[in-house]
Amino acid sequence: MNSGYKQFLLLALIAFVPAFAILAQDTLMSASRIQAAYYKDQAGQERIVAKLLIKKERYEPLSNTEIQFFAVADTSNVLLGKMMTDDKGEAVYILEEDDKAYSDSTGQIAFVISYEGSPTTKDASKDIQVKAADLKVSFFQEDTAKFISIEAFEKEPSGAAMPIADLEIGLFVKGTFSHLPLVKEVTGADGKLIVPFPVELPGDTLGNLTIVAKIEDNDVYGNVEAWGRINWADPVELTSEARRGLGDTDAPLWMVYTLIVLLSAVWLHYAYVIYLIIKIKLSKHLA
Amino acid sequence: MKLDPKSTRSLNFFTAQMTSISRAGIIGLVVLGLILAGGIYALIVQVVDGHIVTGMRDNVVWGIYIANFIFFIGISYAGALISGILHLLRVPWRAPIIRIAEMITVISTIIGPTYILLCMGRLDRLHHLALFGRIQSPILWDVLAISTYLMGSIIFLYLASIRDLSALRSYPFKSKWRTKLYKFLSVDFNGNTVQNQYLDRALNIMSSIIIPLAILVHSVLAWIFGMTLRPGWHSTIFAPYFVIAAVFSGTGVLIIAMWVFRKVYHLESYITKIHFNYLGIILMILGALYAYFTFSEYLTSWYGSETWEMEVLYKLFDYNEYWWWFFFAAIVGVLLPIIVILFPRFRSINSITAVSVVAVMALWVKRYLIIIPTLETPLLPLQDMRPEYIHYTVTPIEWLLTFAGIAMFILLFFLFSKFLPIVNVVKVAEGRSYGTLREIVANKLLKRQIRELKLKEHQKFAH
Repeated sequence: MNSGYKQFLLLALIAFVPAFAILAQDTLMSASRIQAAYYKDQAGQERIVAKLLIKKERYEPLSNTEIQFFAVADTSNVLLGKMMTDDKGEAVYILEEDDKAYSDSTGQIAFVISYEGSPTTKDASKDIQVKAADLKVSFFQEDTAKFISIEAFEKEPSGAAMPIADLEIGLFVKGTFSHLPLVKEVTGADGKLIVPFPVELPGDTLGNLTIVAKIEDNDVYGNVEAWGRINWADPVELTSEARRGLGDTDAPLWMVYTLIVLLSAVWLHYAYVIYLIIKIKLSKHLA
Repeated sequence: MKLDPKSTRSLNFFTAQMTSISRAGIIGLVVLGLILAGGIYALIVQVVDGHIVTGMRDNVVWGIYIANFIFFIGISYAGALISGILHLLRVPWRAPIIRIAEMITVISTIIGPTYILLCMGRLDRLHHLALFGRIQSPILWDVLAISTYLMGSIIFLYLASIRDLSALRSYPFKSKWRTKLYKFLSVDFNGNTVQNQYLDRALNIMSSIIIPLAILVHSVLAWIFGMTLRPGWHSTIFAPYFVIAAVFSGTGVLIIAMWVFRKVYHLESYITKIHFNYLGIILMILGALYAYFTFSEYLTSWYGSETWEMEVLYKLFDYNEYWWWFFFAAIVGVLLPIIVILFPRFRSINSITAVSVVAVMALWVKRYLIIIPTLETPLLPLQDMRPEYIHYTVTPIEWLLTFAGIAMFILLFFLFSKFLPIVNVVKVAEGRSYGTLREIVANKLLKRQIRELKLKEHQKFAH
């Protein structure tokens, strides 16, 4: 092999080894991803729920990891807080009143949720924009007909409430373990949605039913929830099952009474026999 | 209390036995003492090392102790039912055997429950039963029923002994403690009309109560098993089945005890063949009833073909598991007494006693078969498959305590017989003699034969 060829190989090695090393390191690092959503509940509490996922065979939640929540200001991002992910890989940031100062002229706030990465995991970030909206659930009656009224509105920077038209709202009946879907419709120009009250549905013993209104995964308003409660449903009488008592600390009454009667009957006879024995002793002088 | 000459002769006969002991008796006592010492050693080992020295494990949680418990409670029926019924029906031949029966009841009701204590892992929590006992638990019913039954049996035995205690009070014993004790226990009974009325009333009450009480005790014992959902136990006929088995074994033990005391104390003139014959016939009838219940129980289980029931049945019919035990308990132990007693030519004091021994042993095996195969068939699959977890084997410690219980039973019987005549002395003298009854029967038979002969002669003459 001539010297020129050797020099070429050496140069090629010097040039490519670091590049291969970087490439290899890059390939070994796991990709990560952030999912984020905005939620607002009946009490007006607003929060951003971010979920950090890391790619193994598929994307899996990464727990006990720090996630940073930023608000996008005019010139730079302002750190709102740092939260640790839980077992589900979720970190929750509850918005404070001061955070709303970062909203723009339309009332929209932009957030950046970021994960800085680690030696084995790539960094990730997610941008979301939300505009605070409110829902109000109320009930009214016309003659015998009963209705649910939902009002959706947003607040302008001035503080005035503006109805939201053409907004899709889902209505549900609150259950013990999940919600029963009623209807999904859009609001009118006045930001209202009116649907008949499901009087045929069973309520609790007093006929109470909780109606939940939801804006779900909306690009502008995120997730907003509100509920109202009224006793227009069909009351349900609770029929409690007859207690067996065998597994309880209290025995069935018939059993207690039977035992008392039987034992008393026998022991009273014993007592009477003992009384007769005493009478035998006392009768020793009788004929 | 004044005694007639016949009673006085009987009293002298029994007091001589009560105050002396033969060389064979001393040897017997030494043997019993050695067995009891073995039992005490076994008890200490069990208390120190825990229940690991027994064959009981997480799976088979009941073993030979519970079999012994049921067995002893079962034989306690001898006194309760036999003496109670014979007393109420005023059966004339009852007097010589009634005290033996009552003694069996009291002694076995004392010994039986001690096996429960041996079976318990946490004896220090025994008082929790009284403090936190649940009325809906068959275990608590059992405790209440057995303690009530024991109390009733003691009262019944005491009442039936008052006349003899009164006679013994006047007997010139050398040891003064005896006279003092008899004086105290005889409650100044002198046999006047009023005292006799009170005593008879008390005896009638107790003999009426003791019968349903005995049935209840063994029913409750059966319900401990029957009210579970385990294969081989969950049966509606378990309560009557247990009651019949108990009377069957109780009668068998009574016959054996009669035979032993007849031989040891030479009671041939008191306990005669007629007693063995009558009790043998009772044993045969009970054996037939027991056979009917056994057949009904296993036929129903087999016909139903429920998986878990069949597993237990297969174990009972498997030559490598319990077949020979089952064959002895359900077939030999039942049919042999019936066959031997059914045919008068096989019927003798010794043969009746021998088949009673077989019946009693079979009933003990039966109790073992009720408990162990079922517990060896768990409703849930076992995780730990070590052989000792699946199969129960009686350990030497358990055998020692079992034999100690039997020795204690015999010893207490012996001690009782040294305190009270084994035969009801006053009643035997007062009562209608079984010999007279025999004579009446013989006379009737003779008269019938004479009548038949006369008829034949008359017919012959007419031709």
